[in-house]
Amino acid sequence: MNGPVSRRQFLTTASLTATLLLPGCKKLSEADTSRLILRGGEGISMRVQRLLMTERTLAREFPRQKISAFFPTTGTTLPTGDAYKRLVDTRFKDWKLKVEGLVQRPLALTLSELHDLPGRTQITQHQCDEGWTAIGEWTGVQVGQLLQKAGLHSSARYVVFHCMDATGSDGESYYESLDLFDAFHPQTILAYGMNGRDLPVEHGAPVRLRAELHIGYKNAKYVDRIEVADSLRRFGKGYGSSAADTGYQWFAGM
Amino acid sequence: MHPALYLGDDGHKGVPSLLSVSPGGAPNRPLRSTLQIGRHVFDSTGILGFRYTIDGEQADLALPLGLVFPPSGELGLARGWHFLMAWVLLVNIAIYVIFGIATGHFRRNFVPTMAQLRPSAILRDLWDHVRLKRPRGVSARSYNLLQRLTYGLVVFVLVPLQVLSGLTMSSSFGAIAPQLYDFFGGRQSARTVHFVIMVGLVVFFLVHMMQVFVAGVRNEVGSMITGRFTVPSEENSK
Repeated sequence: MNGPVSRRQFLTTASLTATLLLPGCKKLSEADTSRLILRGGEGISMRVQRLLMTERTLAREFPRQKISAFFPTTGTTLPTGDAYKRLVDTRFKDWKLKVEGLVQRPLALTLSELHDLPGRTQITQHQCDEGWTAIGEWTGVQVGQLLQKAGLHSSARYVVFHCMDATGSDGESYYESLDLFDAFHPQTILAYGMNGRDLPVEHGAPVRLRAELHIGYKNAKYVDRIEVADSLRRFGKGYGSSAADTGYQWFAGM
Repeated sequence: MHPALYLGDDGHKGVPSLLSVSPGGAPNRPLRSTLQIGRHVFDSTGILGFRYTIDGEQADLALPLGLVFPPSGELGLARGWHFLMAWVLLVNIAIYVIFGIATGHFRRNFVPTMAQLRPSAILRDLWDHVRLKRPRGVSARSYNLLQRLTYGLVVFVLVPLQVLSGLTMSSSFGAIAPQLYDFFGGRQSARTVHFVIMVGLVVFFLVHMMQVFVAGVRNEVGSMITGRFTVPSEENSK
């Protein structure tokens, strides 16, 4: 056997290094430590994937015959409250999508104004973190187009999507966010149509986010306000989305 | 959680599954759970298929909470650990493969020798293996045929397939390397491959551990770490 010495040296060095590093973590509570470690792993995944992709790296799009006959629903399937019920009853006539925050020209667009903008249709696969997948056709407006229309301030870094469904005991509305790379990705759209029809209520009517480079839970439903921000810290618990606030990954490209 | 395996593109409720575990069963017998394999359905109550409330939401798990990680059953944290440990695995593989090639370990110890490939040698090897007979003398210093084939299969086939099938399920990596989707024949196929290999690797690990005990823990574990292996004296066997 050759090389046992170098192997022994390696192991000694490695274990010594580990022992020296450990006390640095002691001040943090166990939950904080694991959260910190996991955020580190998430950061590595995000950076490595971004290195390997360009703005033109597209998620797979499928032919029409691959569309799933049944598309499961998750999370909220009907927002509570009279306000949403009234919107449904009037077929979202008085609904407006607001684009605000760090923009030059805040926007408030009705559903028919969204329909009049150039649209994008994509047949993609929804991948739920629980393991199921389903293929659907989504039609809507590219988020990048809306942001260009509104004009970003130079300090803009993130795009926050506020939703009409309240989740959790504190009644806070659901939110999700993307960085500018994802927000301007060609397949990131606010979809008003699904499988050739208006987006159904259980899938997030009148519009939902489709961020095809991400896993299912990132595709927030019932979006009615887009807020451009320089930091995610002041939203929710500061982790960037309702899902991330409860322990899920903010970067959901895995 | 969605404890069901499929082949192809699509996999959700209503799509025929290869294998699934469902808690519940008949509505009037909510505590019975079932295991479906192909066209067969078995009662798996108490063994597989449990229903919990996690974070105020109903969650179906194939395994009891004590066997999942983290023990709270929170899927978000589980995913976080999974992907972090995937990086640890990748770094480990990289170091292992570089050393394996550089030191000639793979060439010397993984490729079967001509002597080992003689039919009589193969038969003797298999017979020794079945009887859990400990290798003796100089032959204990090198891997036997079954070891070489198993290690080769694990290191060069199963682990790479495991990494690639995992990457196929990633939304953004699937966009970076779309060939993977075609290679596995769909995301659900990749997921099934990922699950089957996981079971295979766990079985390999358990059997391997058992064999280390059969062959003598001190010497084997010591040799794994230091590279030194002591050949026991043959006096007792004479």
